[in-house]
Amino acid sequence: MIDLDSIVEWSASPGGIAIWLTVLLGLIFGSMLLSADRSMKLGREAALLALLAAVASAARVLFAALPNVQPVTILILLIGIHLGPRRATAVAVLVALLSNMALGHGPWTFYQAVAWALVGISGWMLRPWLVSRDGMTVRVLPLAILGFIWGFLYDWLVSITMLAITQQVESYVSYFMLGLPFDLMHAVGNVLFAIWLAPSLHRLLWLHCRHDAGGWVDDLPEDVLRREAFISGGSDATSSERKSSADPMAGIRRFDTIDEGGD
Amino acid sequence: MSIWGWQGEASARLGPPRHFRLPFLIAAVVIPLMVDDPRYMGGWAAFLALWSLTMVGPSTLARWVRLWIPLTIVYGAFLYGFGVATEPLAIAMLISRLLLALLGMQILQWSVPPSDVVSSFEWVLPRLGVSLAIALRLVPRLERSARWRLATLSERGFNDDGSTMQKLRLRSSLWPGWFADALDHAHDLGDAVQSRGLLSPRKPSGGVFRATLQRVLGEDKEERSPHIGPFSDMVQLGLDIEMRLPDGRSIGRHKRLLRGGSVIMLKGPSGCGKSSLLRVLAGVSPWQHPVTVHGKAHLSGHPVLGEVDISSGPFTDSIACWIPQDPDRHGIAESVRREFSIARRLAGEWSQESMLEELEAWNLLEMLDEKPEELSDGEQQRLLLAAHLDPIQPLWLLDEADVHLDEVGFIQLGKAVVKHRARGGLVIVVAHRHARWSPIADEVIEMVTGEAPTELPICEAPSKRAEQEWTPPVIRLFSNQVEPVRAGDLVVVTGENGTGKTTLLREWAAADGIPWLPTSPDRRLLGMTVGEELTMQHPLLRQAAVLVEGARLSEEAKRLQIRQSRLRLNLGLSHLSDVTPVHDLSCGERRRLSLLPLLISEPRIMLLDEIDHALDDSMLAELLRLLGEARADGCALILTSHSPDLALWASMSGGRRWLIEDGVMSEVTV
Repeated sequence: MIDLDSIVEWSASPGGIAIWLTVLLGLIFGSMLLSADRSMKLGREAALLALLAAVASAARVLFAALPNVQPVTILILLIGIHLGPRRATAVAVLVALLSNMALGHGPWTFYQAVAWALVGISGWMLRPWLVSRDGMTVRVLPLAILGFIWGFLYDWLVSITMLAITQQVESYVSYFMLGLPFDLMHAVGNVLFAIWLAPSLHRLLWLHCRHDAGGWVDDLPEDVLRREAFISGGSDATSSERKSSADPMAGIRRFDTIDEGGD
Repeated sequence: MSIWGWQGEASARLGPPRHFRLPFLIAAVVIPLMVDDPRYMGGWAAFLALWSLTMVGPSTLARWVRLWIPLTIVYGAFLYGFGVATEPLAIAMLISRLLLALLGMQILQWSVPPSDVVSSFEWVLPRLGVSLAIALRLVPRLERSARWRLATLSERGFNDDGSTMQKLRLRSSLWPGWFADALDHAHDLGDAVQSRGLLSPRKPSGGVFRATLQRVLGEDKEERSPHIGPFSDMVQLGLDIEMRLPDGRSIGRHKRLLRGGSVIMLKGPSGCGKSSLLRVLAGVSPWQHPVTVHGKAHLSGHPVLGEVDISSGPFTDSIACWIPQDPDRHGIAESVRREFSIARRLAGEWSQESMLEELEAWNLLEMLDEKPEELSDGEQQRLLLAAHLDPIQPLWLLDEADVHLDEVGFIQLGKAVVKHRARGGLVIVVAHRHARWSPIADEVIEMVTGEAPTELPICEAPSKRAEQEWTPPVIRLFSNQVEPVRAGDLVVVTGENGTGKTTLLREWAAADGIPWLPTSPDRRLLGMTVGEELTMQHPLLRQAAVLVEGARLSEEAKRLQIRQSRLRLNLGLSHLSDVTPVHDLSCGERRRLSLLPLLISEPRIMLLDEIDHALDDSMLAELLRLLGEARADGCALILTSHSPDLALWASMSGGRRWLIEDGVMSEVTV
């Protein structure tokens, strides 16, 4: 028989808290990832996430010599601001996977991915304070403050790894204390990266987003219709004139089952 | 071995078998937690240590131990200090648990190839798996791109002066251009992924469990029935479109009906919208730059999709076979073998035999395990064609697909095109060098009408020559049997794909500090916008750009500015706005922009790789005229090319020809 009391007791213990917190975060994180995956329709979107993950991972490995100083947190914060929480979550998991191929995988890979996903989500939620009203510039000071705070929060979240493994709150506290100087370095690093990277990265993400300005318009421009009607001898351009025998679509109309119903 | 974990095929063979990796991971984490007896713990430790020693050898294991033992000892000291455990044995057990879990996971990391990580990822998150595959491809590219930029800075003379702080500032100013280049490369890879249908739902191949899982995850079960034979329906492409830039400028009006069973050649100057049209027809983002497409485009007779209203895109399925420019930017896989396996997965079942036949036909059989980035441009082009010329697609779009190919490669491509036409397929080809395609093309479409044919200008050798001589370096690919190069010489280097033409130029440039122009323009562009690029083309130009108002410009800087403006005008770049992002330009425009610093610096010798790539006839003629001027001033020119026209031009201009064949580079009498 399952003893409900003992389950309740276990879930209030440090180990229990670590496990249910891990499961809860995993569920939220997993659903965000599935949602990001299913919503991806363009190759360019997949490639952009790949690029951001590659840049962040390469930068993390590049700065590995400086303990806990890495630009990933600020990059993901900016991704959350510009591209939303789902994509930030996707980049978070890719960065954790890629960079730990070089730096070492472990149970922390999961917590790192979750913590970075939360960083991205916070960027998206606090967007009104982090970018100017017209969205054209990023506000460095609030970003640096948020980056500083996340320098500590991130490391404390990742430290849950130790709680989950050892199931002892004392070991979590000692790990936490051990990490405090490193947390401070992470926080200061985030401030410096925010000052250095934020303005130009903002501009570069804008480079990607501006491609959305293009697209398909079903109708030809009026000036083109008038000019072609004039050349072909007509005086006025209407849509019916375009469907003349000179219309290249006329030749394939018989195959076009979609349009036939509508005509 | 790579710093990215995996220690190679030998480690992969000695690691946990493929289907036991997940159970092993769970065991590696759980066993140290469950075991309380130090003897069993010791046994497990010995087992893991022995396994990893056999797998990666003592030095790699020692590196791992050097990293983790001190960290865990510090951790143990903290545990003792905080009173978590006071017994030494208890602390040792905690440390051992941590270390053994880490070592177990490290064994997996050493033995699992990155492509297997991607495959596992694709199971649950197929599109993010594609992202991971692209990211794995981009990481080494980012590193190479950074190296190219530093080399370009050095070649342009930027590192010779200034304090350390100035040098640091200069280097850090490169990062937006580096990132913009990476973004453009990522866009290219994304377009390649899209056009090949990699984002479409997969056909389940792992039995009932996998099919159920895919259904639970919302993946549709796709039934693709590849039919490689004559197209049963009439293939037709109807176009009634106009493409416009954001400023309203038209870059192409197309109103015509193209029928299957024909080869159409598109002609026109650089930047007139040829590649943009192919992008539109391939169903990938037509807005490489923010281009708006007005009107309708319709493809009929597709054997899988039937009727395709192209304007209803973007599509997750592949609607056409698109072979873009710059093969080094569109390969998705980490090896030749994997590039083929991706193509095979998409094109339906390929028998091992037919794959080997393709590899043999395109002369790629011996390169199966090579990394694509280590192949020459011509070999990369052949790889793209061999893997991705998809016979299921009725519409083939070839964007300057022959530029890097030697004659043997072009004959192979010609055969494939003629075969596709005979099956009723429609092939649209963009080409600047028409001589090769003219015998095959059924129709030629002029994108800009009224262009007068241009003849290549003959350039004269200088009457007086300096005594300076340059000797090509000895490289491992072939032996030299050529005379040294003297001032004012013109040399065209020819040879089949992969013989080492580009390697010769690269190593020569590195050995003697000679400026050279690679085929891909992006290896020589530093700025994010045209304005930034122009100021980065010479140290004096950069100094002039950052001068405070009222400061006096040096005479040399003024002279360089005037020369740069004149060359911009001659090379058709004067209309470009300074704020235009460099990667919004067409390939031909970027190539000309990357040529400017070479011409500005007036070197005594220039090394130019495939100089005619992406240049139309009139622009090539203008460039050759400028090179002729440089030659008349005593500059020696070393060019590589596959074009018979350029070889003929060189011989008429009194040039020399070096042929690389059978491991020997020798002079050829012309």
